[in-house]
Amino acid sequence: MSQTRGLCVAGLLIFLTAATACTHVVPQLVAGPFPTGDAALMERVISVAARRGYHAESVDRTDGTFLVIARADPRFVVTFEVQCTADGWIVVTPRGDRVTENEQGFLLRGRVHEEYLAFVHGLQRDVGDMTERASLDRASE
Amino acid sequence: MRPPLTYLALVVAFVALRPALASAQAACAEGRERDRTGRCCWPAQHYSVAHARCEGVPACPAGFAEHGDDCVPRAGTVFAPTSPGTPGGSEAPEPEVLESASSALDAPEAGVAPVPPPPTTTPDHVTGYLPRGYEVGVRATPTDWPLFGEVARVHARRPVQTTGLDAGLLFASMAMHGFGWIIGWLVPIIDEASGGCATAPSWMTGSTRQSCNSWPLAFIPIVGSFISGLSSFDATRQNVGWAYGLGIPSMLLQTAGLISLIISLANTTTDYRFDPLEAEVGDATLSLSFEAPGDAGASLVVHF
Repeated sequence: MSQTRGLCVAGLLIFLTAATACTHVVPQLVAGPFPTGDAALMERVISVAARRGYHAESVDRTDGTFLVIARADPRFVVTFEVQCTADGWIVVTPRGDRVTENEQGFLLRGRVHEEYLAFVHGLQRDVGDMTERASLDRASE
Repeated sequence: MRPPLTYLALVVAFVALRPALASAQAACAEGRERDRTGRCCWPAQHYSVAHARCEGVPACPAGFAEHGDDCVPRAGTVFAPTSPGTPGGSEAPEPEVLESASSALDAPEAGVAPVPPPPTTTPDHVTGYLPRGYEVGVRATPTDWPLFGEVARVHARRPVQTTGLDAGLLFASMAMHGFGWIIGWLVPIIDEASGGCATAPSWMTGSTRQSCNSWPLAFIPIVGSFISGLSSFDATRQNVGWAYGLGIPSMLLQTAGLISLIISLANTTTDYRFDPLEAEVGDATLSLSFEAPGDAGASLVVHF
């Protein structure tokens, strides 16, 4: 009996260790700030997302939001909710299966956290480049 | 048989309506074409009645880039407002896109009315592109969107990509190399403690065990412990078992650690750090710090 209990405890510890090793706490990630009141911001974000292979879903231009589906782990449906703000920020929130939130941020499993980081970092860089190019084009005209 | 007057009326009606029909035919936004259903779609697309939109991979005209089932103007394209009532493939209005506003005004196509300049109440122009539903002067304004503080979490951060050495691999390599070195030191320690050598061969009478005095050789990296376990100074070695039992594993561990160390030093890895958020307002830089102690658990730092 005690041997069975010991095996159960050992199994539980191994499971918890494995589960902890695969979980990453990531803060909510944002990109910006970009120029306030830029009407083309959201389209630039959608364009950058498309260029990186993410199709924008549930696009709501009035509210400045759309969704893309994470591809890191097809077993679970995880989406990144992209919110453009009036003051020029892009706020990206992960949602879906096995995504939980605590005080430090979001608990993301497996490679979803790497995808989340790469996605938001890509937005920061590419939207910034597009905005700068547009600004230079305007200045040269 | 119909009377000739009926035919005459039909001809008159056709002639009267022809300009309107021609105008409707030519009313597609620039670059789009009418498909068989009479809807404006990008070239190579067809209009899906079921989905109420144009479908298929578009063959985007010059100045446009493919974007899913759509073509979007490349950066630098100038927009002008759409004429009201322009029919299109979808209910949303389609912006007229001009490669160059002046050239379009100078040489308008036959049957297409010149596009008027944007009203003065709107920005002069918008670079980049605007989607369907957006028009200069009739756009869904970003001011309708929420503010950052309304949607962002307290722990929001901006990711910054960093490139550097793989600290994990570096540490593991050093640990492996060090562990091998420590194991290697067991050989001379055991030798010294047990007296691995003798004053004379063991079959001779009066032979006594003593230190081999070869322990300084263990300082030599990788092979030191093994050599130390085989050699002796001023004595006859009696036991070489520790040299093989511990010296060889020590050599293997140190070698693997060293190779891994070289690999970790030669390669860089990409990682992310999370930067606090800053915004430039005029000459000042606002920095929002959520870790700072305070009543609200956050502080706003202003740098000029």
